[in-house]
Parts: sequence; C-alpha cells; structure tokens
Amino acid sequence: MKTLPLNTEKKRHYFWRLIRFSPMLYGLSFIFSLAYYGLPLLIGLIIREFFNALTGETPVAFDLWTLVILFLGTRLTIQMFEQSYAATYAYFEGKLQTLIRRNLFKSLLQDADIHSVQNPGEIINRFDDDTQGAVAPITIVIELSGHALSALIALVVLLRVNAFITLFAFLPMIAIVALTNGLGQRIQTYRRVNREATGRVSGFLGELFGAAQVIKVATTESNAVHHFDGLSETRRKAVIKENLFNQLLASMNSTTINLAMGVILILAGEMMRGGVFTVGDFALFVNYIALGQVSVLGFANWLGRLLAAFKQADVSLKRLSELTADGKQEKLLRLGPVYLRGPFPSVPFIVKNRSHHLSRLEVEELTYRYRDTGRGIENINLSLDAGTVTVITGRVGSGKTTLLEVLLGHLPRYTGTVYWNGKPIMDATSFLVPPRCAYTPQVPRLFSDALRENILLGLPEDNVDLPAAIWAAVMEDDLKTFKSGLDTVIGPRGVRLSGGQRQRTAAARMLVREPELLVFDDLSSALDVETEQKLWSRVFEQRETTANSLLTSTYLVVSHRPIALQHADNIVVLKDGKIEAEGTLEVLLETCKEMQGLWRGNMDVVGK
Amino acid sequence: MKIRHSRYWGLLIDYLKPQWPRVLLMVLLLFGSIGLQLINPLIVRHFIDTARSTEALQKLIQAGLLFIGVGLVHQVVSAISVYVSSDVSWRATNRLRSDLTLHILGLDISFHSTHTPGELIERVDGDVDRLANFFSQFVMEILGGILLSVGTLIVLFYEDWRLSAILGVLVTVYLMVHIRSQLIAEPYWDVERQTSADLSSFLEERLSGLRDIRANGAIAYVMRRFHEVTRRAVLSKFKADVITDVGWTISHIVFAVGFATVMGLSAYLFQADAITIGTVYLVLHYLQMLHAPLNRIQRQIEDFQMVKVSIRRVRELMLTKPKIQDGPGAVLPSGALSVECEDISFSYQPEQPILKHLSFHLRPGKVLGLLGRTGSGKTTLSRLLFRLYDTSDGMIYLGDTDIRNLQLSDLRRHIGIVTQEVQLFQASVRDNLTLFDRTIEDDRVLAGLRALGLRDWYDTLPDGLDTELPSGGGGLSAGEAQLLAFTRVFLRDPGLIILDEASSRLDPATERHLERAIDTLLRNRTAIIIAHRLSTVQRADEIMILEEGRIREYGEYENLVANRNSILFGLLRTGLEEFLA
Repeated sequence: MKTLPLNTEKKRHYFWRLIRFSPMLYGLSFIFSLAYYGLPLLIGLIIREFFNALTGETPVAFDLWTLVILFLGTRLTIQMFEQSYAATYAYFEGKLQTLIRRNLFKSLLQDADIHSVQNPGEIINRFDDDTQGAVAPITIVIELSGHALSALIALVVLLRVNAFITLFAFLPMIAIVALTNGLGQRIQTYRRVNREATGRVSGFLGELFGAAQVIKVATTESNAVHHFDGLSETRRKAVIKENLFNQLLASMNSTTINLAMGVILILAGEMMRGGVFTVGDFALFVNYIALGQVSVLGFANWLGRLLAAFKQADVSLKRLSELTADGKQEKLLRLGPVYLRGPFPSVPFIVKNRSHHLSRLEVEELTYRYRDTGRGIENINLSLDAGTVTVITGRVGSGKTTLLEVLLGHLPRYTGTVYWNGKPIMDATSFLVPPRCAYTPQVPRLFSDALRENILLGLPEDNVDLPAAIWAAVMEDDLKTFKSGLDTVIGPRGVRLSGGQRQRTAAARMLVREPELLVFDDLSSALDVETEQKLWSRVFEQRETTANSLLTSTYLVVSHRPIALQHADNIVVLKDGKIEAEGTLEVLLETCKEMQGLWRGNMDVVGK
Repeated sequence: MKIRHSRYWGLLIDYLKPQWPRVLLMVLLLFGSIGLQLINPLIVRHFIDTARSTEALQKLIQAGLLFIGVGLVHQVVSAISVYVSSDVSWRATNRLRSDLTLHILGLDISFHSTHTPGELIERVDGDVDRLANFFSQFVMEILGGILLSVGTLIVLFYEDWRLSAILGVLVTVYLMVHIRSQLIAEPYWDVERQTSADLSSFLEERLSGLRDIRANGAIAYVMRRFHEVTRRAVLSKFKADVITDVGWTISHIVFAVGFATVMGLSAYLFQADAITIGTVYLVLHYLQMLHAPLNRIQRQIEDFQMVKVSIRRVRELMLTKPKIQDGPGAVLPSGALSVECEDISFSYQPEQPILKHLSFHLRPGKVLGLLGRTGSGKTTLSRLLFRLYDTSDGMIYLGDTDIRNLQLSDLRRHIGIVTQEVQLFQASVRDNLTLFDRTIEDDRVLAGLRALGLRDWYDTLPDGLDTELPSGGGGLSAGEAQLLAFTRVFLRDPGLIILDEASSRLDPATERHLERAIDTLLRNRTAIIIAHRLSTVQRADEIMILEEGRIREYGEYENLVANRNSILFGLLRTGLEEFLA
C-alpha cells in the first residue's frame, strides 16, 4: 500500500473530520453494516448443515426442516437490517455531500477569483459529480468495515473446517490486492481525463444555451452542434477507456474467485473420497468464497474499490479546491450545520452605525496584471474624501473595470493597499460590503425571483426604504406597467426585463442598502438620455441637499458620460492601466490631451 | 402526459439501428457469456457425484482444470462485452445529446427566456446520462437475465421436471412482485429530478451573479436560499431512495421464501432417490447464481424508473416545437435589402402591447437610426425582423418579400446583428469568429480581421486563429470583443445589419475608433442602428423615435435636424445644454 493518494497524515485528517461531522449517523450506519454483512455468514453454515444432514456423513444438530426454518428466519432478519442500513446510509451520504457543497458554494461566494467562475456550467458539473466523489470513501469505509469483519469471521470458520484448502484458495487474493494497488495511478489518470472531457462538454453546453440568440440569428446551430459533437467524441473515448479499465480490474477479481474454486476442486477431490471433506464443507466453501453475498475475495474487491475511491476522491477534491481562492482543501472540509432539518439560518441585518462611516478611502500603489494578456492596472494611487464624487474615465481597455474589481477584491491584487479611514483593508471582499460599500457591475446579473427579492436580496423590507430606492433608480414608472408590481417574476437572469430595466433594478438594489461608498461601473450604458439624467440627478440629489457630511455617501463611478463627469469632484483619467491625469473637468479639459479626446467624442454629438 | 411503452423502445431502436453490427456483436457476446455461466455448475455437479463414487481420481483433477479454463474464457468474453456495450451506448447517447442540443437551439427565443442554461444542461447532459445505461445495460441485463433463467430451467428440466417447474414459478413471482413494488417509487423520482434541476439552475444563476451578490452583501441571504433549495433536493432523493429500498426488501423476502421451498423440495426428492446429491447442489447453486442477474434485472427496473422520467423529459423537450416555422422558401436577392413594416403590432404577454401599429419603409443601402427610451420597443423590433418572434399583427417585408415566406435560415443569413453583450465561447479564435462554421476559409477570416482593424490584436495571439479563448473571453477588452462581434457579422456578409446599442458600453474615444470599422461594416448594406445616444446615430439617413411602442417621429435626419419643432432637435439641444451647463 505504498502509493496511497493522500498522504497518511492528510487522509487521517480528512477521515476524522468527516466522521466527526455526524458521529451518530456514522455509528448507526456502522452497526447496521456489521449486522447486514455479518449475518449472511449464518446462511453458509445452515447450507453446510443441510448437506451434511442429507448425506448423513457427519452428525448434525438440527433436522432438515428446522434448518429450512432457520434459513428463512435469518434471511428476514438480514432484510430488516438492510432496510435500516440503506436509510441511514442514504441520509448520511446526502448530509456529507451537502456539507462539501455548502463549503464550496460559500467559498465561491466569499473569495473565489472572479475569473475561475467564468463558466458556471462546468462548475455545476463539479458540484454534482465531484462532491459525490469526494465523500465516496467515507461511505465505502462503512461498507468495507462490515465486509472486513464478516470476511475475518469467514476466514476463521474456513480455516477451522480445512486449513490446507483455505490457504491454497486464498493465494490469488494477495496477488489481486497488489495488482489493484499498482494500477491505482492509472485509475486516477483515467478518471481525471474523463472528468475534464465531461467538464468541457457541459461547459460548452452552458455557453451555447447562454448564447442561444447569437447562435440562432447567425443560423449557425448545426455548426455549433458539430463543434459540440467533437467534444462529445473526446468524452466517449475517455469514458470507454475508463470503463474498460475498471472492467479489467473487476475481471481480475472474478478470475481469482474462479482460480480459488478450481484449486478447491483439485485439492478437495481426494479428501472428499476419504471423508475428511464433506459435500456440506464444499458447499460452505463455495458459499463463502464465490456465491454468497459475503466472500473473502469480495473483501479484496471492496478494498480495491476503496483504494480506487480514495484516488477518485483525491481527484475530485483537487478539482473542487481549484475553485477556491487559495486552492486548499481545508475549507471544503470545514464542519458546520447543513440545515437539512429545523429552521434555516437567519440572514443578519447589519444596522449602519458610526463605525461604518467613511471619512477617507485611499488606494496606494495598486497593481494587477491579467495572467494571459499581461494587461491590467499599474501603480494606482487614489484618495476619496467623504461625500465626494470620483469618476474614473478612460478608453475601453484602459483598466477602469479592472481597477474597481481589484479594489473591491474580486480580482486578487498583486501589490498595493487600500486604506479605509487610514487603516489598511485586509480582506476586501468581506469588508467592502454594505453598509460600508456596495457595487453595481458593468453587466449586472439578476435572478429568476420576484423583482422585490432581486432588489432586497434578503434585507428586511421593514428596515429599509424600498420606495425611495426605486424612485432614485427611476423604476417607479416601469413598476406601474407590471401587473404584479414588485412581485413580478422576472425570469432567468431577469430576461423578462429590458436591458435598461435590468440596470435600474441593479441600481435600486445598490441604493436600497444606503452604503457609505457607492461604486458603479457604467451604470447608464443601457439607458436613454432622459432616463439617465433623471437617474443621475436623483442619485446625486441627496448629496446636494444634505450639508452634514456624515449623512452623505461617497461615490466612485466608472463612466464617460458628460453628466457624470460634470458632477465629479475629481476625475481620474486612465490610460493603458495607469493614471494619466487627475483633477476637475475644467482643469483636465485644459491640460489633459486624453481627456480632451474623450470629451470631444461626447461633443461630436452636438457637432453634427 | 403519459408515454406508452412502445415509445421507450422507439427511442431505443432509433438510436441503436445505425450501429446494428455492434449491437449484433453485443448480443452474440451475451449468448456466449450465458452459455459459459451455465456450464460451470454442471462441472461441479459432475465433480461431487464422481467424488462420492469410485471412479478414477484423475477425472476429479480434470474437472478442476476444466472449471478454471471455462472461467477464464468467461472473463475474457465479459470484458469484450463491456467494451462493446459502453461503446454502443455512448455512441447512441452522444447522438441523442447532439440531436437534443440542435433541437433546443432551434426552439423559440421565448423558450430560452424561460429556461436557464443550467436547467438545459441538466436536460441534455444529466437526463441523457441516465439513458446511457438504458441503451447498453438495460437490454443486456434484462435479456441476459431472462436467457440465464430459461437456460437454467431447461437444464433442470432434464434433471427433474418438478424442480424446473418450481424454479420457473419462483422466478416469475419474484419478478412480478418486484416490478409492482418498484412502481411505488416512480413519482418520488419525478420529484427528485425536478428538485435536482432546480438546484442546478439556482447554482448557475448565482454563480453568474457572483459580483452582484458579494458587492451587495447578500452572501448570507444567498446561502440561506442555497440551504432551502438543497434541502428540497437532498430530502427528495432520500425519500426516493428509501421507498425504492422498500421494494427491494419485499422482493428479497419473496426470494428467501422461494429458496426455502426449493431446499425442502430437493431434500424430499433426494430422500426419494429421484436426484443425486450433486443435483441437489446444482439446483441450489443455480438458484443462488440466478439471484445476482435477477437482482440486476431489479436494478435495471429500478433504474428504468429514473430512465422513464428522463425519457419523458427528453421526449417532452423533443415534442416542444418552435412556434416560428420555416416559410415555403422564397428567394432573397443578394446585396443591400429594403425593409418595410406594415402596421405591425406585437406583445410578449397579452394586454401588454410592446409595439403598436408601426409602419415604415427603409430603402436598400439606407441607414435608419432608431431612438427611444429603454422599453420603448427598439430591441423588440429587431427581434421581429429576425423572426425570433412573429408579429401579432401586420407584415414585415425584407427585399420586398414577406419574411414569413422565407426559410428561417435564409432570412437570418441575410441579416447580421451586433448587440451590447458579446458572447464568447471557450474555443479557438477561429471558432469564435466563424461561430463554428468550417466553410469559412482562414484567408477570409484574416481579411475580415484586417478590414475591421483587429490585425494588431491578431498579431499578439500565440497560436494565431488556433489560439484558445478562455471562457468568458478573459482579458479581452470590451472594445476588442465588440470588434470581434463586428467581424463575425462581416464574415457572413448580410444585406441588412442591425446594431443594437452595439457601442453603448464603449467610451467615446474607442467608439470613434470603431467608427471606421462600422463604415466598413455598413458599406453597401442597409442598416438599422438602435441607440439611446444621439452620437451613435449621426450616420443615419433616417431617424425614427419610438415611444411606448409607437412612432413619435420619423423622417430624414437632415430635415429633422433643420426643424426646430422636431423632437430630435429638442434632444440635440438638451445634449447641448448639458454640455454648456
């Protein structure tokens, strides 16, 4: 057993944790497993007695009919345990899988690199299959324990009946354990290739269905499916390879059973003639070794399955932990409630207080580069005072969105620090959230719930000013046209809304949280001029009417729209990931060529 | 909707027929394997009876060797059989996946707006995976189990007809009881499939909206929803599992009773000297040997419950027909196309009209600027031109042909659209540009890239057109993505181009940079430019302003700009004031 996939220390750790997760269920499954796998040993003994009673070779304790009744009784008892075992086992497995899924999902929500979550279809695939793979060894161990105990007892019984035959029959088993273990590396490889090919298939399907309109209007349906066929074909080959390999391993097990039986036949002949080995003994051997549910070689089979499961679990855990921010398995195995029973976790509502107040946000030497293109942002220094509006502008590709995402912690930053009231922010993703900060991305995503749910996202409606947020986001007129108002279900990703409605819903979602710092990326790109003006003026209105800086919000906005630029206290012009210039619109228009270029683009509207 | 049994077989036959030689091989291997399985117990019977007689010991050793030999051959046959059957099933299900995907892509856009990609993945991949088993294992196991039972009955018939009869009764009763008891679980598996699909679409949507969730501090809320959806999925699976297991228990008990009966009968027959002790062994051995394949039949029937649900879902999907159907196939001229709408009205939901009595005529080669607030019906109009939806009322003519008379593929080939969002695939740059159309040659693709100003970008690609774009396009700027979308359309050379807010996410400087690309794109083509920004429609020959689904203003750009009373003039002035403020 030299090539165990997880090193022993790690494996013990993995085991101990998941067992500790639900000791009651584990203990129960364990006991039921012992009974379910152990009791069938009695059947072999009953059959042996049955044959001995028939041939009358050796004295027997029971008559034939008692044996038949005993047989029936034992079977019924076994069935009873089977039922309890299956139920406990299924619940336990579900609970374990939920734990890993919960941990994975939470970790994805909290701190995964945005770029590793580009393809949800592929991740869902991992959610389904890899979480199952990850817990498989735990449940297999339960089965294995039952098998192990029953195999041990069976071995003692057989040795006592005939040690010579037993020893010879068992030689092939040792070979199979050694072989399975040696082939382990390949199981893992086949598994990985298969999982990767499968991931490609479902990933592509996700992209395809997500882009159904593009595909349809380009009438390229059959071409796209042709590409899909190529991916399917690769998967077919991977699956068949894995299946065939697993079948060969299984065949080897059957072959050892076959060899053991052959050995018994060859060795038992003379003994049977001499009366040392009865027909009953023979039936017992066959029952334990080959035919019965319990067999000593079956144990080898199970051990092989466990080893394989460990290797597969390792692959699965690796694939799952790839998705987490630090790539470690630690987080995936963290214990905690899974809420399969009882009340669901409550959603805490954080009341804004003085401690959330922002007086100054500073960004120091922020640098980030995309791995594949080497582009990004470089050496960004910024300072935002409470109650001010800062607009980041620049050409497409100048790094505006990247700057926001690095600042907010959605992209892991390479170097640099962000200070909140002079204190460095250690974990941006968990710190820069309401009521401190809220953000609306360039392409906001909505969910297939009611409009209300989409805006509130769990906020208690009584504690927030929903109508004000809707008004500020210029949603009030749209709302009137919806038959069910705020209860309108907006379809997957909000497809039943227009692009502008989606954007304004996202704005309302941000505004209802009344954060200290509002960050929005190109909020008005899908809005018409009139709606856009309304939106900006409503958003900024509160700022102009409140003199108390403690009550006003601070704005960090990516935009190239004139109205935003005009409202700005400070404009930051980005070019190729660096700050080209900074200042008010007036100053920049005089001094900054890049700004003049950007502004002229806007002015052209009027020029014609 | 209840599907008759023949329908399941219909699906099976449709997808197995094309590979009948492999299926035939699969069946032959099955027969061979069953035969070999029946031989070995006969060897053992012979062995026991010989051991208790006075025949030469040599014969016993021969029996042992023969046993090993038969066993080995059986293993080889099994391995080949697994290879062939999984090959058959994966070829068949891959074809089914492919057909389903094509079918789904052919469905109306209204279908796609009510089904998440996550749910559709579950349909195409999850449900079809279940069928993979059905295609190979089901027939093999069921047929194999039945063959083995029949073979056993025949062999036993030669020993003693009473044994054969009671075994026959046992097998029949056993299977009948089991099928019955399994039916209880079917509705529970139905629920299980639905809750698991719900979980998938929940995850898919939330993962797509990761930024939004984080940035709005909604992690705790989403986790709570996760637990709600997960609990439903886990518990419904648990319930289905347990109820399925009750069925198993019932069948096992029936088998145990049967086994006890056979024990009694064979003991009686042995004591009456009707059979030898070797035959008693043979009967019990066969019976135990039958238990495994009968269990596998059970398992198959059990799986079949899930498979039935999956097949039903697959068939439901296949039976969902697009409302929008091909026209008889009128022919469109090449080159710039005229567009004419004649009193068209449209609504997505009854009583919520989006477009009301719209009429206009756009001459070939002209550019129409379409302005209006969000929700005024601009995008809807473009969808109608593509026949992603059909008008509720009124007619649309393209190149003087009623678009309903055209084949959809022909209609859509003549129109190109670029929208705000550019969908990129995890595939090569070539595939992303040609949208997987292999008939477009590399030279044309390169020429397109050059024409639209992407040549510099192309030169940075490590593997040229073979460079794989990461999913989501990673690292590609919005401007480059937009140019990619332009190139896509350019390569298809349509007679009408629709730019639906194509550049609204771009900054003015980049937008100006794109102007040249747009010039190239629109040359010798008719175009509709949808925008809510005035700058975007400067190149328009005609302007149409929509408001609440009606035309507020429609005319030549020059005329409207010159008219102080026009809305366009007003809008331009608003913009002006904004800048002067």
